[in-house]
Amino acid sequence: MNNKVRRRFVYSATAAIFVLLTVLLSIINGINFTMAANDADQLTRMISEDPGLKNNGETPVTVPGGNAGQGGGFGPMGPASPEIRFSLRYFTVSFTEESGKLEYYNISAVTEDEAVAWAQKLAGETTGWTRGTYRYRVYIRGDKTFVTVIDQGRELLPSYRILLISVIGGLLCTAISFFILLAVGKKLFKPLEEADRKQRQFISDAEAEFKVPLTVIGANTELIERRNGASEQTRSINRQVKKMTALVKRLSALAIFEDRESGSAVNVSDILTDAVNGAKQRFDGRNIAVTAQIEPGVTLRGSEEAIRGICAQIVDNGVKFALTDARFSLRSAGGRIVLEASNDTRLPDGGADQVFDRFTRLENAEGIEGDGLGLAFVKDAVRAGDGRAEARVADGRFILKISL
Amino acid sequence: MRILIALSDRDLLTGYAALLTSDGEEVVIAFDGAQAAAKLQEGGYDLAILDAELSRIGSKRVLRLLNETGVPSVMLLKSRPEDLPASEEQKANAYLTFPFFPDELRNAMASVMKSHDHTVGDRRMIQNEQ
Repeated sequence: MNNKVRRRFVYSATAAIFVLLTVLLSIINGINFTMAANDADQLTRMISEDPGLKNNGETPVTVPGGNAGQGGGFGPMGPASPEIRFSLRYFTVSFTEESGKLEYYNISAVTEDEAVAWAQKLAGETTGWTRGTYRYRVYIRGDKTFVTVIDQGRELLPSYRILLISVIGGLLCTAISFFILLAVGKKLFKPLEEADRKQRQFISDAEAEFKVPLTVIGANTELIERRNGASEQTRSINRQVKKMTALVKRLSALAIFEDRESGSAVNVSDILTDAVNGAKQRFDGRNIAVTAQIEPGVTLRGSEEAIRGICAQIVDNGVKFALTDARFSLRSAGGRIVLEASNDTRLPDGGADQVFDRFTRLENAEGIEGDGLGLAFVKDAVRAGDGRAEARVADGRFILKISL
Repeated sequence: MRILIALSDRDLLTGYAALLTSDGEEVVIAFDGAQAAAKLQEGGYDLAILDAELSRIGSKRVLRLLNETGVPSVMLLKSRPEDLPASEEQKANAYLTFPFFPDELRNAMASVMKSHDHTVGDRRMIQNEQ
């Protein structure tokens, strides 16, 4: 496990906290503003029923949710009070076909002429907010259309304060979370890193213990052949030793490739060119047309040994399983490198990612030497380097695409 | 060619000693660093093959002795050469990582001897000119 993984965790966790806070605070503020709009609608409705908000001395004003004739009632839909006629700033304009007339005017921020002109613009609507903090309602009584506009600036002030505090608080919480995660990230990941290190050490030790015995077996087999002549058994031993040697070398390359942060910039273009030229020589007798389109100067940070292993495996695979031609290309794209290998094939069209499974060989592998591990290790190595490997068959071509 | 082979694994040592003897080389074996150092005192070696895990006297000291006596060396490793920090006096002429096949060792030996012959030849030319 490396710094990259830890950083990714910190960024992902911080992003998750940010999204959660955004959703939560949006809901809270959404409800808050909706309730403010409902309160304002209550008031405009109240005015539409009692335009002047006048108590004629005998009939107490009925305020929604409040106690008639009593002060300070708070109904279920919002604050309501007989004192409201003194605190509410509003105007009402009536319209007939000929003209508009200011019916009630209890506001100082808007002149009478402005009020009539404003109401005229709203006459075609029903209800809503206008100029930010003014709530309006349009209603019809008899042959007249009435537009009531009330100033809710003071009532909305707490809601805006809550919104501002939510934004600042949300950003602050996100920032604090980020720094806390950064600070404790190392401690959090320590057990995982320790487990990962032990696992790698175990694999490395196990792999190291194979190395010398394989070398001994190879040397002694050759000695036996010299003294007693080659036999089917010694040839079989040699084949198995070769397979296990290749396996151990791939394990080494995989371990090295996982530690890419300590690698240097490797010229992949040169390595792939070498691999293609080598394959052309090795498979010279098979009449396979091998072509390559390799962008020069493509580099990658990592182990040269591991990258050579990946390129060699992909090229060998492509030529080995080709019917008449194998093509290879390498290009850089958006900060990544893309390596593609394709060869003609009789396999049916479709996805072919199963080639990356260990010990899996497709039906075209009949009679062709291989252990079903080569591409499995390519995928492991590519994944270890944060890359992607895909395989598919399309229009009679097997296509392998590696992105690193 | 007279070759000194010093390897920590007994099976590996006897196996390659037999193989190289079968190739027609004169082979002297050592089971640890101290034996290797003692054999070197006798002199007359054309090449040394050793691994990085010699006991009693470590491989780095043996390499220093080889470099002082001008005997070229091939070092057998389980890890990458760059993972083995060493000063100039403690460096081998070639490194071969396990596992390897006999032909790979032969190629390494041939490559070392070829470049060693060039170096010795160049030195002789310079001496003659002087």
